[in-house]
Amino acid sequence: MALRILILGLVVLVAAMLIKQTGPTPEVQASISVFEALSGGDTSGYARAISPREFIFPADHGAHPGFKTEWWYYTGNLSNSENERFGFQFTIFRIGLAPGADHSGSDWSANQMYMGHFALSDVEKRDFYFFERFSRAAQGLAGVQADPFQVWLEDWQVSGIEDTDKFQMLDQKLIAKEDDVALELTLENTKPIVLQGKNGLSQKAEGSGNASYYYSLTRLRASGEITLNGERHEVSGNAWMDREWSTSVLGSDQVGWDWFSLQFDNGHDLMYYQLRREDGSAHPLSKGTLVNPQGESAGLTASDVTLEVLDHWESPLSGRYPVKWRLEIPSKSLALTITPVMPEQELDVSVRYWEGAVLIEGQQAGQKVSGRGYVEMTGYAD
Amino acid sequence: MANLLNKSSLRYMWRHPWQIGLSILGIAVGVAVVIAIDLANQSANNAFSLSMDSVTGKATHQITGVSAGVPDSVFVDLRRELGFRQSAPVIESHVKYQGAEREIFYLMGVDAFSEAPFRAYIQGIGTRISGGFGDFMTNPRAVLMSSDKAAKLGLEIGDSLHIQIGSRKHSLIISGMLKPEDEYSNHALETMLIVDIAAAQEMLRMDGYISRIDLIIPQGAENEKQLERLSEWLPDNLRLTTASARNEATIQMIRAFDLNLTALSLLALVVGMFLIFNTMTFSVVRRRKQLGLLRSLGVTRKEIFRLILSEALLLGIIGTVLGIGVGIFLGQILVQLVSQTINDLYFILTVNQMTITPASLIKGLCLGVGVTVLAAIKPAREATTANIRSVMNRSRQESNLRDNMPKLTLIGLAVMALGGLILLIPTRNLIISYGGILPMLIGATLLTPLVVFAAMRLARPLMSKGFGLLGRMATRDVSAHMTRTGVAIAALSIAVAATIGVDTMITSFRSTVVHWLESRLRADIYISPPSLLSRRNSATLEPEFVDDLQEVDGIDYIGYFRENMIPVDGRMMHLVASSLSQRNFDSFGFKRGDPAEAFAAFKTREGLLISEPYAFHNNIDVGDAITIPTDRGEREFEVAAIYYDYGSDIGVVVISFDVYRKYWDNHRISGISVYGKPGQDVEQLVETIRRLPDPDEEVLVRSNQFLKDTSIAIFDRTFIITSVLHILAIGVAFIGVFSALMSLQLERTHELAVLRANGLTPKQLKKLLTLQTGLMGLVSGLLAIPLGLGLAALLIYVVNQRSFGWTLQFQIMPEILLQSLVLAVVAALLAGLYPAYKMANSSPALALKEE
Repeated sequence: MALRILILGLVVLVAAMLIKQTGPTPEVQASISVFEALSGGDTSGYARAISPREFIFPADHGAHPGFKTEWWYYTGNLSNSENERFGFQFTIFRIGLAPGADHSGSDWSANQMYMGHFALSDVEKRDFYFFERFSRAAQGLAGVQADPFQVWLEDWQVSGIEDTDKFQMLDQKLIAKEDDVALELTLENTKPIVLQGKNGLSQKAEGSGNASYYYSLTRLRASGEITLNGERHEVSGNAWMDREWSTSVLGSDQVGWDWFSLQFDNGHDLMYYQLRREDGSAHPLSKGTLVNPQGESAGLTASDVTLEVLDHWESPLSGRYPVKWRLEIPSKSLALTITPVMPEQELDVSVRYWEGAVLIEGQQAGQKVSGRGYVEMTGYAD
Repeated sequence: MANLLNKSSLRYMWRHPWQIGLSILGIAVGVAVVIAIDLANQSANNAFSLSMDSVTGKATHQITGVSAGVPDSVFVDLRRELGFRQSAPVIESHVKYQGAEREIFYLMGVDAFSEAPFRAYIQGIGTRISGGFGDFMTNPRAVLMSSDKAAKLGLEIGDSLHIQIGSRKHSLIISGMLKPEDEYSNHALETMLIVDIAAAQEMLRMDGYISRIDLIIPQGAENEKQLERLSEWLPDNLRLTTASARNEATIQMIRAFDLNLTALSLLALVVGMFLIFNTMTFSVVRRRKQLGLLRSLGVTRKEIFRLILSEALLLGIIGTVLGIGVGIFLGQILVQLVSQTINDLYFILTVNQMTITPASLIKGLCLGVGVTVLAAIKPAREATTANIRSVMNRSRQESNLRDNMPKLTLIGLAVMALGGLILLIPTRNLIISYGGILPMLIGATLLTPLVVFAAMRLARPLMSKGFGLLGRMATRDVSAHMTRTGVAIAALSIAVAATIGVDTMITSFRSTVVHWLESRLRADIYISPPSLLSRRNSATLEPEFVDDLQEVDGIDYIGYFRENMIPVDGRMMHLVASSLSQRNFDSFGFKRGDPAEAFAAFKTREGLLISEPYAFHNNIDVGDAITIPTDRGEREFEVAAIYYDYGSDIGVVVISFDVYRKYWDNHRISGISVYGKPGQDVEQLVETIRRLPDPDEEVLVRSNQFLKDTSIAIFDRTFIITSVLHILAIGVAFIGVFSALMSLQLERTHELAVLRANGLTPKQLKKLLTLQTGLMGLVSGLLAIPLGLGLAALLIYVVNQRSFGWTLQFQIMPEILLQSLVLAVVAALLAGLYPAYKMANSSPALALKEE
């Protein structure tokens, strides 16, 4: 009896000495608050798009750091040999954090940052992939170079291919890879640069300076490959490149835009953006451009275009997006029905928006016309 | 029946509140000390892992450099060439807050865009582009801190925050607050300052380098390949380790320290155990007649055994619960002392919070109750094993003991021999070492009866001469009540021996250190940046200051040194690069290696000098090679000599400054020693040098004597906690002796009444009791001296040697021995006062009537 208790006591003692605390470590969680007066959110100190300017290439393919925001925007519709369809969007945004040069006490210091969005629509499988990344404009992590042309955010990049300069822009090579989604494309320019708006000055809202500088390459012949979850697809198709820089665009009476870039099978390209007011109606400064197969462009204003929404899609995240439109330009005898290849093409990134591949069917000057394109819708998500 | 038994047991306790109270107190203090130390250790460890959690985040691996850090380009290539996105660059440093007495922050420079997968609490800066976050990146003074901490410091967004990094002062602006979402996050973020990586690089002057790159590479076959690919891709001088490797190497530094504290706390419990043993024995003896009656009434042995044990259990539980309460209180004080010592000796740690874990409390509960029950087993057996008749007869027990004395002595010797054997095991394991010391102590206490008999026999003629009949009676009484007096004397002598042992160890240590400092510190002036650690320079001097110093007149020689902490094989290596001159070199005391030969090897053949603890911990001798990670990859260096050093218990590796410059890229200076020209007024030179730094730069310029005094002050400070602990152990022992002696005397009520009835006056009775307790104190004190010195020897030659690898000069201080003797006698006399008073003033008739 005593022995048993003695042993028990010893066991208890030893056990007690061995007791160690274990358990999962909780995560450190905190929210950040800042004092708004200290914020660099205002636009003072930046240049503004006030009057038309002379575009000089290749210099203007590079960055315009005096302006707060700038982007290199690529969208396109591709298909493989089995006629499986894909859409892609690849954008690199430059965002000014503070006007002027950085304080440069360290190679890490930066007054600019870059944001990249890469999305791929697998039409056959109805899969939509999207990625977002950020980087400071320092240490060569992200940046833009005009000549030879290159824009990159770490290993995502678009670069000019030497000695193939056509229409003031080199052919380009686009490389984007994240997780199990990779895109590698050669983009061959087939039309001259289109200066949007008034010689490239695109007025977005009333008031001097509420505008951007905007030009497009409306038809790039794309070929390359998509690797999706280990599966490789040789693809080809058409892509579109938009270049835009500004400091202030939307006015207080505008809530977002619906932007269309459409490529017809007959060689015509149409760009139209409708700036949207609170009540959903079109703002008079909405604009567009129709480019013929030879590359000659004609400007369109809001009064030239009627846009009717035929259907809506309820985002599972929140927000209700239009997903089918009737677009008519009577002056050009053009009437189109625009339908997304699938409604689920919303990018749930830091600023949520919808950007997706679309199909077009309709009539142009009495002829049946079809084609493909991309639509971007902002200001619908909460 | 069981109910009735319990009632009788409770009744007994109720009627003897003094003994019961003291037992509970003894257990409570013992448990309190154990709990307090455990809580202090745990809190320090938790504070460490908490700070690491907020710093490491979800990183699984890290890329680190050796001295200079990781070149910026490695991160850029990682992202651009390898497309490895689960990576984040970090620049880190501890910084001093300018304002409070000692407020240390951990400054972390981050790239907000890389943080999302790692530290969710920072990612907000990166994904919310609008608002004030641009300011965080573009204003080199912008800093984020915890809103709770800011509130405590009375700071708001937009306010300036003044900090000092190394010798340089900086003024930051609070650009935002981190609002912790729970208590855990609150503590984790309390000491954090977050700045942009560019601002950090500029402030820390780390041009082109970052501290580390955090990576996330989860476990899995695919990732093993990725790891391999990454290691191959990395330049030789960079290392890919698990994220916790450095933290583990860091926390490793305090293992020995932790363990020694725990061992000391257990000492208090062992003393408490004697006390319980004594109380339980007494309660059995006292109720001998009652228990005998119960037995004769048919109560079984098992029931009696259970009764005694449950009494012990009750006392144990009450004492333990009380002890836990006291321990938590005591822990608050000890945690400060523990963190102070860690900051003095090992690494920077801010302990803001007491961690009271259920595990700690359960440990205390098990120990307290377990020890009490263990201590009660012997008395419980005593109450049950003997036959009824003899149980009722007390003198039987004393004669038992006398008969058993040779056996007891032999057992004692055997136990001591067992302890000795354990100590002979060639191990560095501290638990085994303490496991050897404990039997030595217990064995020694088993010799107590023999020693007491012998001592009393020797004392009898002297006492007889000095105090006549009363003197003789006193000595006989002590021998006659050996079952009681023996335990009391053993408890007291163990406690006093602990005092002697610990005191002698500290004194020996201190005098060794003082002697070492005297011979080592030879330069006139020592210059260093304000270091956040006391024993090691964590900061470096500004290069401009170092250049300016060379222009100062009156300097004969300038010695430079640089300190680095490098994790090697899971341990921290303290690498010191020194431009040792011959005269510096002569101040080293060498344990192994020929000094002249070693100097030549050090200067010309890239030889190393290693300190004794380093050689011990790593099992290295002269001529062996040590592999050290350098900025040129791993290199082997040969050990030229082993020298005595008491500055660091993890050990030091010294390399020539020229060799350091060759293999390492960060050439900043941690400290400078200056020898004045002959005849140069040192004070004047100090003044001149003090005028060199910029107004926003703080440099410590200290004379030789001042540095010595500071070093000794730090040494003393690190032993405060040891002193506190052994005072507590004495406290427990004192309570033990007090209760043992009091029980002893109170038990003799009847006997003393007989003496009184036979004509002994109250005054004589008082004298008898005083003589008796005084004698016991004296014997305890005398017994404690060899025991204490033995313990000191074990602490010095076994524990210190095995924990830290130090050779200490054993030094016996007569005043410590005398002091301990006085302590023992006074404690005993004090304990005898109340019983003497009570006995002398009680009516003998009343006492006799109780029969």
